[in-house]
Amino acid sequence: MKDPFFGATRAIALNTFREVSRDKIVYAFFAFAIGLLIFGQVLGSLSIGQQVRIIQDIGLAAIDLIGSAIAIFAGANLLYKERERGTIQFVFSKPVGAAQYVVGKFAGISACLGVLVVLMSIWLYLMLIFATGPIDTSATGALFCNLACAAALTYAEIAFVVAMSIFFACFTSPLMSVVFTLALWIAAHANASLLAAARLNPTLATAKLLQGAYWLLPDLETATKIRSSLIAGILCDATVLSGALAYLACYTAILLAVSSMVTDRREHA
Amino acid sequence: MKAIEASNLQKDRVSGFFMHRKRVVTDLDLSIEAGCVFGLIGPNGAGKTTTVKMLINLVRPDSGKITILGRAPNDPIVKHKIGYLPENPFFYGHLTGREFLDFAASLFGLTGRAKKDRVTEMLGLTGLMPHADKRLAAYSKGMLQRAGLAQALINDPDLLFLDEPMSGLDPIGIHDVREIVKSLKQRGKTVFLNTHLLEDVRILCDEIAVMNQGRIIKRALTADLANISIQDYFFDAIEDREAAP
Repeated sequence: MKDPFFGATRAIALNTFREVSRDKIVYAFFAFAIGLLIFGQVLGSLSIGQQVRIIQDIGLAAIDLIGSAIAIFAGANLLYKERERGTIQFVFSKPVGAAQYVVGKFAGISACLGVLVVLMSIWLYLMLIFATGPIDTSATGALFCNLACAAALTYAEIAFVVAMSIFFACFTSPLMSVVFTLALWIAAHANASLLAAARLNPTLATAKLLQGAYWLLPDLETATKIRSSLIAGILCDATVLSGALAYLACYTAILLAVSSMVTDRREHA
Repeated sequence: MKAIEASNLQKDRVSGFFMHRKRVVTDLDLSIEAGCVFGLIGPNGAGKTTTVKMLINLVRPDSGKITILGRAPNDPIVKHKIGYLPENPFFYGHLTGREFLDFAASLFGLTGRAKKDRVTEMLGLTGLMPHADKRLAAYSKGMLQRAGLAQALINDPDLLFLDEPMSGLDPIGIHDVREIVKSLKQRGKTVFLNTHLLEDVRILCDEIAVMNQGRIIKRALTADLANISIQDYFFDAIEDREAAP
């Protein structure tokens, strides 16, 4: 016997990975591939000279949407199913702590979505190469670099959505977890508007309230802006990119820590 | 040495919008010697399963104290030494029998050859070897019960909690489980058997307790019950309790 903390976490992650991947999640990739093929060709042919940009825009948005949708539903359902079927009793009768359980679940769902994001990104890259036609190696390299950075940012956002979904699933029903996660996801994408509204607001109390909400709520808008500039072919500053990734990683860690505390307090009757 | 010690345990079930409380376990005292096969019997809704869940820390008592193998029930060292077969086990349908036991073994930190050997041994012991690579979703009730027993034994526990272990088993399965419990007893393991099958109690247990309406109402060594049937003992206990003011 060795390494009991990571051993159990890894085992839960592997089990979750198997559960999500055997739940026909791979169909999402085929839907993405076929959808992108059709929309890329149709919309690309309508916009003269902008086909590459359109494929890139649609492709990355689709990766984000498909990944986030699966993250929301997988996070909400898997925890609920564990409670309903009583498998959570099996897990917690073993030497497994709440943190190991929550981190294991998060790692399993995120790993599965990671594979999906890589597959979809490779498909998107191939379609872009095909749409661009024969070009020099340096241009292809820059395209790959931009796309890889954008995909990494998208994945960090999806992993964050998994953490949000798990957080809500710890103390609500699957339906409410989906609703809360969606609401927070939308709010996170419009976070900077709160600050703008605070500046415009004449009342000090309301302005403070809006500012407070801005600092408390997660910010996904920055990640979206960086991704947009990458799509436009503007290479992003490494500090800005790593800063955005670190922000998402910290917020994710906080959500997982709170989820662990909530799970630890729960009874598994 | 005591394997289980519990004193003054109380547990309320809280339900509904108005947080209605119903007492399910009342003033429960338990003291079970190591190496003993202990049978807890009682009608449905007596509080047997809640008692087991409190002993393995799935549910926290509202008051009272529990010691398992000399430690608190939430101590990871205790969790390493106990096995638990839940009532009506339903495990991960997406896993095969072998994968499931591999998962259970990994939760105890088993790795490599030791894990593989232990999984194979448990599949053989519970008669699941022919179905090892079939998904649990395709298992019958009896096969799931066997898988449940296999995972409960995967860590070679010193203390085993079996909640209705014969449920859904065919006569061969019942015979196999009885033989496993007997062999555990011979090896000095402690078994906490939660059942409503009185025949099992007579065959397997060293000591029995009758539980009704959240209380232990009668307790005896099975050796002292040689001249009366367990069934009479059980019904007398229930009737005495219900006749009490």
